[in-house]
Amino acid sequence: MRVVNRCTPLAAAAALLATGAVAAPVAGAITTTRPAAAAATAAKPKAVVKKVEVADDFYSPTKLTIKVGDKVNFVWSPTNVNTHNVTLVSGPKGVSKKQFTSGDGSIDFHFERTFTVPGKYHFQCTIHPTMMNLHLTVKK
Amino acid sequence: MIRSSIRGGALAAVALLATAIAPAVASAKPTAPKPLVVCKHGCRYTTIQSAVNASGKGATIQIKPGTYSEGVLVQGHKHNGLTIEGIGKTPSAVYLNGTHARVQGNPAQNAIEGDNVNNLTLENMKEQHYAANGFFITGSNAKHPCHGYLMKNLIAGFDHAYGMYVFECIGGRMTQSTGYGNGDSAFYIGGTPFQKKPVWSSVDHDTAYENVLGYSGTNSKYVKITNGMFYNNGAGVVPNTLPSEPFQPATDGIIANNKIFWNNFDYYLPGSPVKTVSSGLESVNGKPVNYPIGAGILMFGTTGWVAKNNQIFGNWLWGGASFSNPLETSGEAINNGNRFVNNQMGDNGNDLNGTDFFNDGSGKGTCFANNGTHPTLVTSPTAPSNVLYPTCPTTAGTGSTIGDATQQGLLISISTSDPPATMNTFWTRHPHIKIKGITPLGG
Repeated sequence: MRVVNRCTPLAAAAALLATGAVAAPVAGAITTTRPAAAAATAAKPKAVVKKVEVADDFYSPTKLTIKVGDKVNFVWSPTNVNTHNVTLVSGPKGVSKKQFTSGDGSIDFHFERTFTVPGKYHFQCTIHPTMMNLHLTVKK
Repeated sequence: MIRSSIRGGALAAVALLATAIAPAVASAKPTAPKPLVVCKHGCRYTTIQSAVNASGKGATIQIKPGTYSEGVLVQGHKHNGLTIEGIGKTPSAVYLNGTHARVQGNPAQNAIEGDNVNNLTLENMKEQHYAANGFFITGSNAKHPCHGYLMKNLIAGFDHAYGMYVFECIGGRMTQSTGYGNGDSAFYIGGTPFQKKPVWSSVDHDTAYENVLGYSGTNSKYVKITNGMFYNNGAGVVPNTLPSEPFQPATDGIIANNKIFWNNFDYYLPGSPVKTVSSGLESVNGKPVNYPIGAGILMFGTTGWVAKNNQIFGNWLWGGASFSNPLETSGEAINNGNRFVNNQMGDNGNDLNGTDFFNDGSGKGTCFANNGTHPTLVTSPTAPSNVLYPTCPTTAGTGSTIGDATQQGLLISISTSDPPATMNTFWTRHPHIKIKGITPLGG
């Protein structure tokens, strides 16, 4: 990581592209390789980031529709008392539930994922399952 | 010091005995797995998390004295039976500091979290300043609770919400531990699944001070809280029923042989080192409903909780109270069959509670017996005292969450005080006795 940090973003992206180190986007990949990813997908429309609030004891919104390639950033509310999580209960075939499941958090916490597989996703806080559900539709 | 020297002596004796018989048993007995040792320098593992990642079922992780800035996650049944223990002479020797600890780009939420792990043991450590909680053990979800845990000889301070926090677990023990300065409670057991053959949890020989609440448990069940000290909190022991957590209501708890005193911590006052993280339980006419401050025991919408043989004194609102939540439409938060029996109230007149007991008259079967010769009662012009404070057993009560109008009006007035710091205007202040090493809060 430190080696990459010493390079400029463009140089790093070029180096990664030259070596073939940039893999195809993976469903649920953590978006920490922004410079490389940005260069690799330069021709594509810019991904939209939708915010979902994780609060005591609800998600907001509870229904959401995005396009393939868009991101969802789950942001825990600074006013939370309780601990919450984002757990993928059901999703399209082949999508890893683990990859779309956050840790437990209360405040100062966020969880961002990119959605590359179209279909319907159901997220739930396992600590507050009756009150915190998000139904997400990812369109082609 | 006494405990240390006894323990040291015992260990030495065991060591000598082991040396003497070692040749005879060496070939017959399988060798126990070596503990995974963590220390800052010179150990194979320099973080607790790295040792956890390398551990399996039944393993022991020993942490040498030092300060560790991390948030540890123990996840999954592959870690069942894991023990994580500090091996310093005191819990403070192994210190988990949450101030700058980060996990995957976020502030570390918990000092140690056990997620979906059975029989996890956490022992002899101190933690402070985590973004969510100190020591946290939880089941996977409502259908897959955790089974058993031990939290022993821990210190938990100044966490956002809870010091020692257990959720969706069946059975377990918190013992000989201390919590202070937490924004909700020092000890919490909640979201307990219903059980046909209940496995009880124990919160024993613990100390909670200067928290918003000493013990809180939403939908807390099959819990014995015994031989503890709960003092200088906003309220001492508060089992409660809320719809936010699964498995309403809070049922079947015992609060026994505790000292519950001086819970007059008005954390709403300017300059308070501790702030409540709650923005209110409900709202009435736009005003948030907060927990009453100045109370020893609050049974909030509980069924079948018993407070017995406790010493309850110097709490300037109420010593013990039992009431429903009439604002919650499900009717689950109902004051049913709670009992206050054989408690010593007000230290024989030396350190009085504001009033010893409050009951809102709702629900069915809540009773009061043998709590001294003349416990003081919050009375109502609209309900006789033998209905509000019947002896045990009883069938008295309205049978619903709607109780006596005067009592519930008073409760609403207190809990919606605006600003909340003025809740202390409902207190009746009395002189305190002196207790060595403890300074009372509340002015």
